Amino acid sequence: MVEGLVSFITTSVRGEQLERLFVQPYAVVAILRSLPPLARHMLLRLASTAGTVPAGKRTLADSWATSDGSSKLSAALCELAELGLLAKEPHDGQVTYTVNAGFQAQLRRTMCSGCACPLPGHPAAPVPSAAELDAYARRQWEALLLYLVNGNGTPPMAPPVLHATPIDIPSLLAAAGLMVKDECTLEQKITEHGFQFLLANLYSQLWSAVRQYLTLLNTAGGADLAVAINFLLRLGLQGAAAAMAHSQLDSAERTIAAHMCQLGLLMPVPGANELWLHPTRLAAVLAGGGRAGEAAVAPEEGYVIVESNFRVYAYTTSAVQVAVLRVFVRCDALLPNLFVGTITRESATNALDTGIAADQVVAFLRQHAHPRAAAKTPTVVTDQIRLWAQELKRLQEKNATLYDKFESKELYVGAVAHARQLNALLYSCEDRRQLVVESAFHGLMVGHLKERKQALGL
Amino acid sequence: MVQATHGVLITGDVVLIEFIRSLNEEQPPKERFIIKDLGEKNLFIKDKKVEFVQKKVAEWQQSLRFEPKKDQQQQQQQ
Repeated sequence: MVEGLVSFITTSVRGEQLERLFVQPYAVVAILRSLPPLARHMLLRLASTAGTVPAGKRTLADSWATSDGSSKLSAALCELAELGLLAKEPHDGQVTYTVNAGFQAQLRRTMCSGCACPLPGHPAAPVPSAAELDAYARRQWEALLLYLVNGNGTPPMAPPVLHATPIDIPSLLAAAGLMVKDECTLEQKITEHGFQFLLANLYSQLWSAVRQYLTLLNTAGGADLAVAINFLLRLGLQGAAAAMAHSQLDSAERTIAAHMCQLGLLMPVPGANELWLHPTRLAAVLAGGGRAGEAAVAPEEGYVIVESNFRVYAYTTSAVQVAVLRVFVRCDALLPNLFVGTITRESATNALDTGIAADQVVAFLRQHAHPRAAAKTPTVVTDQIRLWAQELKRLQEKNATLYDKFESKELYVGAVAHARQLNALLYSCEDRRQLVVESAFHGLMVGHLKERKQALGL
Repeated sequence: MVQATHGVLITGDVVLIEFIRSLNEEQPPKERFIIKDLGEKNLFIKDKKVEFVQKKVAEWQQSLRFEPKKDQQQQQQQ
C-alpha cells in the first residue's frame, strides 16, 4: 500500500494539498524512502543546509559531482524539483536551489526524534481475539460487497460509538465506476467494472476502495486529504500491529478512523475509560501490499471445488460468495452451507459478455480453491473457458474505407506509408493495389492523396 | 481517379469467412452484401448489413453446439 500511496501523492496531489502533506511526519518518511538513492542522498544533504544552495557552474552544488557524474546529479535534482520538493529560482541575482520549507522542517524533526507516535501502552480493555476481529472485518466488508452485488439492502454502517459522519458508500461505489444509478428506478446497479472488482483478490479490492476514498477527499478539498494519507501511511509503516487509542487522535484523524472502522479495517473496542482501535486482518493485508500482504496474514480458507465435468461445489454460507459464483456458474442447488452449480457455455459466455476476462475467472477459481481439492483446477475447465472467450472474438468488424484503382505504384506506396504512420492501416494488397483504412481517417487520406497526385503530376 | 468506398472490414479465420461467402451466395442478387473479397481472412461488406451477418454467424455457431440437458428435456416432453 505504501508504494501505491506514494504514487498517488506524486500523481494526483497538487498545490496547497501537497504543502499540507509535506508537514505530515509519516508522509515525509514514505516519500524519502521511495526516492531513488541519489535523489534521496541529495535531499538529505540539502535538508541539512540553511535551505538555499547556489546552483550553476563552479558553485557548491556543482562541486558535489565529478565531471562524469554531473549529468546524473542534475537528473536527480530535476526529479526532486518535479515532486515539488525543490525549487530552482533566482535569488539575489543568483540561481539557487531551495528546499520546501515545511518539508525540511518536518524532515529534521523526524530525523532527530524518529517517527515517535505516542505509545499506546497496553490496552486496559480485553484485547479482542483474532476470531472476533475477523468476524467484524468480514461483516463490514461483506456488507459492502453485498450492497455492490444486489444494489439494494444496507451498506455497512459506521459504529455509532465513534460519533462521526459515515462515508456515503453508494456514492463512493458510483464514483469508482463500480455501480451506476438508473435514472428511472433511482436504484444503483452493478457495472462491468463492478464484476471485475468482485472477482479480484482482496488486496486489489481494498486498495481500490481506499484510493477512491482518497480521490473523493482530494476533490472535496480541505485539510482532510493530508491527514488521511498520513493516517494510512502510519498504518502501513507500522505494520498494522498495535492498537490505537481514540483519545490520542485529533479531530480530523478521528473522522478518518471512523471511516476505516466502517470499511472494516479497524475495530473499535470500548475499554474502561478509553476507546481502542484494533487493526483487523484487512488492515494487515492492505499494509503488507499485494502478495506479501496476503502471505503475511493467514490466508482465508478456500471454498470452491471444481470437477472436470464442469460441476462446481462451494462450501459457503456467505451470500456474497454465492452471488459472485452465480456470475459465471449456473446454480443447480443452494443448500444452507453448500452451493452446487455447473459451468455451462451459457453461464460462462454471459459473464464473458459483461467484460470479465477469461483469465480473471480462472484466477478466481484457483485462488479460492478448497484446500482438500486437487492442487490445480482441471485443465479441461480452464481451457474451455478460454476457448469460449476466444469464440466471442471470432468475428471482428471495423468501420473502414476501401481505396482502389490507384493510378501509379508510387501513389499507392506513398498512401500505404501514410496510413501506417497514422496507425490507421487495416489491410493492403500490393498486387491489386487495394488499401483499407479506418473510416475516421478518410479526410486525412483524401488530403494526402491530393497532395501526392499534384506532386507526382498525375 | 482513386476510388474510395465506405463500408465495414470483417476479419476472422478462414472457416468463418468461407461461411460468410456462402451466406452471400445464398442471398438474392439485390440483398448481397460483399462489396469486395479481400483474401482468405478479410471481407469488405456494406455497413448496413453488419448486424445481419453477426446474427447469422451467431445462429450458425449455436447450431454447432450440443446441449445435453436441453435435449433430455425435449425427449421427456416427447
